[in-house]
Amino acid sequence: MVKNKQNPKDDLSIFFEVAKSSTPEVHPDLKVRILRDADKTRDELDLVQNRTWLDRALDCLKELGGFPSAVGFTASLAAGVCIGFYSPDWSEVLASVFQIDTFDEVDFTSSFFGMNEIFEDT
Amino acid sequence: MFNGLQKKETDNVLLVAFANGDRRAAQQLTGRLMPKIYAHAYYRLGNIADAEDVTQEVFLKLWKFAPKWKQDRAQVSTWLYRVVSNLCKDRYRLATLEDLGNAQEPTDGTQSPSDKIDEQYRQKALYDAMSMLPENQRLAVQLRHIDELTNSQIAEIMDLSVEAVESLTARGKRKLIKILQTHKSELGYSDG
Repeated sequence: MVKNKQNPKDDLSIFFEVAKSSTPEVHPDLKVRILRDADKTRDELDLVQNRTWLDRALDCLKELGGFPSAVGFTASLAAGVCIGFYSPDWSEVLASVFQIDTFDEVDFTSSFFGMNEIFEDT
Repeated sequence: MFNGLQKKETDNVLLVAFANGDRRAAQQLTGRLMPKIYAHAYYRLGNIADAEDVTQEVFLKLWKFAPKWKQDRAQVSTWLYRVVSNLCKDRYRLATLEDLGNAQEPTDGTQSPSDKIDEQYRQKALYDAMSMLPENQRLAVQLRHIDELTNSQIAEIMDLSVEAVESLTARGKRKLIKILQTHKSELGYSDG
């Protein structure tokens, strides 16, 4: 085979032409798989795009651990609110357990959270 | 006949139509773009199985990205080439063409057996030579001379300037010529 004297750069173009023509035919199965992926993706997009606020709320509940977790969470929240509003006086219980006679009340709303009273005594 | 602008509009319009629920748009897009992406992957990876896997993965990414596609962005084909070149880079092996021995059907029915053998040698020689190029040069040369894209399309795919693409292509081709010089005797070239 004789090298092309008119244009040495054509050497490469011969190689490129062979490379371009060397690609095998696409197997029909590949197109089927790609279109199946497209259908599946389209189904997933339809699900996302058609979701209502109720679907989103139920998904949020699922993220928290489902209905049992939500019930437990609500019960503990209610207990916490009740304890906060109707907190028992523990001073009598502590006094009987630890044999304590006197209690000092500290007013956390005053200056230095009541620390000024302690330092005044010393 | 489509000019470039109409083709861009059509591909983009089809993808947006798919995102809006038109499943037939996927068929048209696949028919139009899959052969080019497959050819690029096949030449890059050297075997049919990997080329098919990568092509399927590229289109899966396209379908998932479709809802976010903006009509005024790059062409769909440019986006696909960028994705396939990145996926091929991840999968790239230095193995030579595995399917070369499976004797592809000759494109020219008048080819003699010796011409077919010459073609196979040239195919393998170019593939091996391109494997020796730096990644960017190899990609630029393949996109320009095998995938037959324009310099501006390649610049968009590789996120470079047109001048940088031209420089990469020129340097790549010079290096290829030097490497292929050593294959001349195998291919039966003479200087006479």
